Formats: sequence, structure tokens, C-alpha cells
Amino acid sequence: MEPKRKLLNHFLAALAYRTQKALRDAPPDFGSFRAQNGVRTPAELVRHMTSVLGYARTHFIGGRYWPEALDSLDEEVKRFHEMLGLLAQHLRNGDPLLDDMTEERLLQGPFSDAMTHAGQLALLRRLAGAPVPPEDFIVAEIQADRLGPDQPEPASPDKVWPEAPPGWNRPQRGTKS
Amino acid sequence: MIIRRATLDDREAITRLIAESARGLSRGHYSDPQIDAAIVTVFGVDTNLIEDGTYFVAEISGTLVGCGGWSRRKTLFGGDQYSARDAGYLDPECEAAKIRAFFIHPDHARKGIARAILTRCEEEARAHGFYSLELMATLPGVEFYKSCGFSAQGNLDLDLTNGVKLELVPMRKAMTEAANDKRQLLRHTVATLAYRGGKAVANAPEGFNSFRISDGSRTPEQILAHIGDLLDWALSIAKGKQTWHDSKPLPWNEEVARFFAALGAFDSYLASDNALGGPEEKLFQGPIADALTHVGQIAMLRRMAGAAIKGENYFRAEIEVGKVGPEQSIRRTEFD
Repeated sequence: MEPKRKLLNHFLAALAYRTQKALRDAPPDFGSFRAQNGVRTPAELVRHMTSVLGYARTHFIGGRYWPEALDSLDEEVKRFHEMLGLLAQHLRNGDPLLDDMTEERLLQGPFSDAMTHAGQLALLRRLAGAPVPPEDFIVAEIQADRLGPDQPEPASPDKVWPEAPPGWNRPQRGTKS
Repeated sequence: MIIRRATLDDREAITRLIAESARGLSRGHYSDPQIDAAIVTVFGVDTNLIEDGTYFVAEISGTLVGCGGWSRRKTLFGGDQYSARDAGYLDPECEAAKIRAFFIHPDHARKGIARAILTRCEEEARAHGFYSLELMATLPGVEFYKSCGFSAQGNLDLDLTNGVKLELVPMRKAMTEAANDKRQLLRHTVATLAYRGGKAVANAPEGFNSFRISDGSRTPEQILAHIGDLLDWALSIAKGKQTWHDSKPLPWNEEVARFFAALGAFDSYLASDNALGGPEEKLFQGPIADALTHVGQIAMLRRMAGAAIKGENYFRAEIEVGKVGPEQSIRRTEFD
């Protein structure tokens, strides 16, 4: 695989990992949690993430992409990971980009968009009263060919979490801080 | 001189060569007790390399005069007798191939033998999909490796035995244009972070810095300070000496200035010829991706604070490598 595409593929894997981290152990009704009027729910956010990645994919296959809303967060997440896999396949196949799209534009546009939304999912977890524990992402077991919902547990969860909710148990494995 | 792959039958001769090389070429850099201890505990044949077919010997008239190799395995240095080894395989896409156990007989030093073996190693590592090389140099080898394009990543004192320490120098080298391509794309991500981050913090309403949406959630100034810490961390990783600190938030405008200054420092390092202390993938998946997620959080807080930033087709944004300051293009495809 061409080196820029390898890094983009890794970007997608990091996105898969961080999205799953933001969703792991979420409360059952988290998908419909609305922090405020005008703010997307987690299910809407995941759908939007699928939408921007689907938009990225149109620059390989042409046409337009507009995902209809699905009935549950689980279904949205499943579709999101399927889209990650489809997009990565174009990168791996060396499929040409259409028109004026470049790897750089994919990165600065839809890929980065999706990553910022993964951060918003984590923020919503906090607002829903179920925050996501921190970890050292640099040692996370992020693998370019692992784009599905089955993502590994943190390799190095932080031992110190000043903003931890009551009842948080300090992890046993290594840490950055 | 011929260079050929080492075989298991070469092990005795290689062991002798290593000892002669260490004793003959290390004096002036290490004391005799250090050299003796190193020969016993660290310097030696790594059978894995021979079995992998990645270890070479140089021969003149049937006599071994040099040896050295490269590795697909995680062990960075040390012969079979060295305890801190990891024979697991490296991922060429995001980890550096190891340059291993170069020793030249003192009578044949500085005749191009090591360079010839190293060239062979680089070619093979590249053919196996690696983009960068990593090694642990002894002090007499540092200048040679620098002349071959490696950069020092600090130094360390290795405990040998009975309180004897050996100073070693970790070194790295990006091998190909491919590595530069990835580095350029990482720089493009940094520029993207500047553009998107700059937009998220620009024109924030009075009091937004301390806006807190719920108990326990971070304020924008806390998030921005954390982003600054992440970028400082990224730079430390790139320099090969990872350090982390939690900083106290500065006044908003100062924190914004710190954000751009940290981006600038990191980007300048990426723009230099200095080797990276870690692969691009790790820098990306750690501090840079983290920072992007936090930019998304500031943008969401802007909306919650009643001061939403406009949507934008970032695919069309004029984001350029090296453009990491507060002055970004005003030609934007924005929408409400």
C-alpha cells in the first residue's frame, strides 16, 4: 500500500478504536441522550460520522451518499464500522481518487470530521453521567486491519483520573501519568 | 571481500570477532571493565538473526573481518545471553526495523566494510516494507552511523553487572521517500488541527473559557490547556524523550497563543531532518488524534454555550503544510 494510504488506513483504525472506546459500557439509553436542544444525540452523531465517511467514499466510486436514520444506536454503530471497512478497502486496493480529491483532502475533511465527532461522543458520555476513562493512546493496540466493533481494551489505562466518577476502580495495568 | 549471510556454523568465529572488535575499537570510549562486562552480558551472537537469514558476515580470504545485520524482530540489541529480549515480530507499517550487532575487526576498521553491510541491510529492510531503521549504538559507532544518516535520540546508561554501566546511544533513520510521504501527511494533520482548532477558539464569547456544562466536565480553557499538553507531549515523543505534564490553564488568549506555539514547535521538528523518536502512526494515534477529538469537544461546547461555529466543507479548506499559526485562510465554504 502506498505510504500516505497506509497512514490514512491507520487513521481509520484509530477512529474505530476511539469510537468504540467512547461507546464501551455506555448506559442503555445513551443513543438517544440529548444534552441540549440543537445538539446531536449519540445515535445522530454516529449516523453523521457514517455520512461523512460515506461522502469520502463517493470520491472513489462516484455518486452521492445519504444514510437514513436507523432505529437504534447499535444499528448505527454496525453501519459505521461497515463503512470504515468499505473505505479502507479502497485505500488498500489502491483505487484512484476521482476529480480533485487527494489523500490530504480526505484527511483534512471527512476523516478529521469523524475524529472530532468521536471526541464529541466522549463528551456526551460525561454529560450523560457515564464518562470514559482516560488511557495512553500511543500504546493502544490500534491495528490497521482492525476496523470492526471488536476493539481491544486499553493497553495502558491511566491510573490517575482526577475527574473520575464515584466508584471508579483504579486499573491494574501500566500508565502514562 | 565478500559479504554473505551468516550460518549457524559461523557462530564461534563471530563470537571471537565480536570480542576482538570490542576490545580493539572501544578503548578510549569505555574502560576495560566496561568492555569485559559488555562482552559477557550484552555483546554476542543473536541466533535469531542467523536463523532469520538477516545477519551477514564479511570475509577476506576465508577470514571473518566484519559482521552485522538487521531484524524484523523487536529485540533492539543484545546477544543470546542478554536477558531483556523480545523475539516478537515488528509491524513494518508502523515500527522501525532494527540494525543489529555490527562489529568490525580492528585490522579492517574504516575500510568501508560496515557501510557495505549496512547498505545491504537497508536494502533488505526496505524490501520487507520497513520505512525506518532503529539501532542502539555503542559510543565508537555513533559517528559512523551519523555519517550514514542516523540521528541520535539521546543516550542511556545500561546496567551490566556489579554496578558497571555502559553508555549507549539510541539512533534512528527514515529510509525512503515513503517515510517522508508519511511525515508530510502527519504535518498536514497538524495543519488541519491548526485550522480546525483555530476556528473552534476564534471569536469565542466573553466567559466561554470557563463555561462548564455540568459538574465534572472540563471547561474550554481546561480542554485547550490539555491540547497544549498533548502537543508538548507529541514534540517530546518526536525528539525521543517522552515527557508528560499537566499544565494549569492560562488566560484564554494566552492559552490560544500557547496552542499555536505548540503546534509551531511540533511542526518545525517534523519539518527538520531530525529523525522521529517514534513512528508517524503512533504520533498520530496518540497526541494528534486526541487533540482532534478535543477540538470537536470545544466546537460542541460552543454550540451549547449559544455561540456555535459555522459548519464548513473542510475538504475545500485551504489547509497547507506548515501553516500552523493563527493566520488561516478566510476563503471558506461555510454554512449555517
